[in-house]
Amino acid sequence: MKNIPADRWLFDRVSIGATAPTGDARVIELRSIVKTYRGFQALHDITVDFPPGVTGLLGPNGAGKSTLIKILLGLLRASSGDGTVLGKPIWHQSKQIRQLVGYMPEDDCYLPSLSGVECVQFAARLSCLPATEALRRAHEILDFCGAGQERYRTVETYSTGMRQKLKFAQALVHDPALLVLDEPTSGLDPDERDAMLNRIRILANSHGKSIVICTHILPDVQQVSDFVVILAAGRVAVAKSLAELARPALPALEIRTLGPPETLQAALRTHAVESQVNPLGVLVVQGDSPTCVQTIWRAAAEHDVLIRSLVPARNSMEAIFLEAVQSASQPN
Amino acid sequence: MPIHSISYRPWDGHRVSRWTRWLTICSTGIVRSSKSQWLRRLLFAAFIPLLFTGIPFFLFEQSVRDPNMWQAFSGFVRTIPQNHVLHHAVGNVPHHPTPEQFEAIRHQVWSFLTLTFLRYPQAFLMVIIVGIVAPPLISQDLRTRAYLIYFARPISRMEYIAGKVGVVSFFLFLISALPALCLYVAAVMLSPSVEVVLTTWDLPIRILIGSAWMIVPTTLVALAFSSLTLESRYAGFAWFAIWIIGHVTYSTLVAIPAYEASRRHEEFLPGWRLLTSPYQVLGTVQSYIFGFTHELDVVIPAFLLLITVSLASLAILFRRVSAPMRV
Repeated sequence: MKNIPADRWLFDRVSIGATAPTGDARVIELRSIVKTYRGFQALHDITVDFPPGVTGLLGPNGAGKSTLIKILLGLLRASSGDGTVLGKPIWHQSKQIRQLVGYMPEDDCYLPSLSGVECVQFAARLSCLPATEALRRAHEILDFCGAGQERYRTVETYSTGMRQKLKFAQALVHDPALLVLDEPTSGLDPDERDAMLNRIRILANSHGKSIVICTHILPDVQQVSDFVVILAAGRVAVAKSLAELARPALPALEIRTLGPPETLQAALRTHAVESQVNPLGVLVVQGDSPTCVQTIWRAAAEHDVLIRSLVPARNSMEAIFLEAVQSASQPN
Repeated sequence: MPIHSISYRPWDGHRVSRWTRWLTICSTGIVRSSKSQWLRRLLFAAFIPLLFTGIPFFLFEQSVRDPNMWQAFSGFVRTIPQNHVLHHAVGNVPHHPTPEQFEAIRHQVWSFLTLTFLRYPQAFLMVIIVGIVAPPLISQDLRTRAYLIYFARPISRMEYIAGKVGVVSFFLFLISALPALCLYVAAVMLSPSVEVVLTTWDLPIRILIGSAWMIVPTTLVALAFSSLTLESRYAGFAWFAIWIIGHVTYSTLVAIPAYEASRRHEEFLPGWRLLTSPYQVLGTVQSYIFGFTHELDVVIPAFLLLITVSLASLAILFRRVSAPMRV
């Protein structure tokens, strides 16, 4: 296997396969979706359910994410299979679906010569908001998105970050039940990125929106997602809750210390507890029993080691993603 | 919730009819196009020929009261190109016509003047205005990927195309049908009695039909060009090229036969050669609508050509508008 991170030993092999989550409520249900473009099969038998909340849709380039989004929005017709979005059958009720869904495309898209607020108002009017109400709502949403007076400038003059905000505002202006956000934090500086993720969380937690985030920035998914779907080579490689994915198969503890971790490692060895230091300088101890925790504190006290943090180990998104993609690319 | 809250607020207001979506696309397109200074200047210029065409209307109607005006009107008629129809009608009237004689030729005079107005200054302006407005309408959406803004909403291809057609049609209506209708209203006001409406009531209808036959095919062709490229200048170039090439082809084809006919002192009929020029095709159709052309062997092919071109352009539009979604 190539490109395995140096700390790979920490992570147990994640289980791969399209497993429908349990529970009744489903925002998106897809059954055996196949899409073929002139002989090239872009999607292979996609069967997956998206629960309410924030779902991260991940996949390498060419995995079929954009095709899947277009099928969900009814812009493309699946070669076979069926499904529903918010209870409405895809393709047959695509207009009703697009009325209920807000889509933020990854591509830079804008209407030249219009100001930011006019663009958002236009998007609202396309969703049948009355003209005056659309303008009021456009200002309200731009306030929420943190757009200031630049909303009155023409969109050609906007920076990448401002265009991201504009696209987000356009997706949100008609108050959709489901948001599909394609690379929402792409091109944003760290502050703006945090603000964008915060908005996503507010929408999901406080306003009950379901959100699908399609991104390559894995920490974003880890930060806001409840559920993760990984597409690889047109197939669903992973469809699980983030909590389930992040939990290692064998429990472990991660310890950060003030000073070199090797001191505590040696101290633990005297208590017959094996540990390893990963490349990030974090000491990892297998097991998470109360006895184990007590032993760690005792060893630290005995050797005057200051512990900065002691937390259960979690699988990283990068490892989960790489594992899923590599498993999908291997022949059966 | 406090009024100063800038957090997210849900919205559950009343939505307007879904049939207004194409109007939204249309009105926004009109606003965007109107930001062009050149377009605004041209729209202003489009009403200048109205004043020029208003003079013969004024002279004709004043002739009823003042016979001297008749001489002025007859002189003015000679300055109008392709005036044989009007010249014939006016030539049969004595130097001091009676009100009944005026009544007999009024419809023909008004129709011819209106057709002349639509056929010459407004047709020329139409080519320029469509060349400014139409090329960026779709090509710019493709280049800036604005189609994603449209089609992420419950917009169908038909609504999108209708909205774009509406933009061009609006400006063409503004420079053709609207001034022509204004001309008609002015003519009624200049006439001795409002009763002239009873004999000329069909003119506004002919103006609308004639304008529609000009607006629809030209708009669809220009938008089809726009949809075929990401660069609006190429679409603009193609648009002007078909008019120039068509006109040159037609002129070349008719030059020698027309010269030979004139040497034999015979009337020359261009026949099928009209079909090589979009300008002549539109002129033939409008002339038929205003009742001045009756040669069906030319009129029917002209109508069929316009219908075919419109349908082909519509097919291209449908194909191209959905193309970005298929990849």
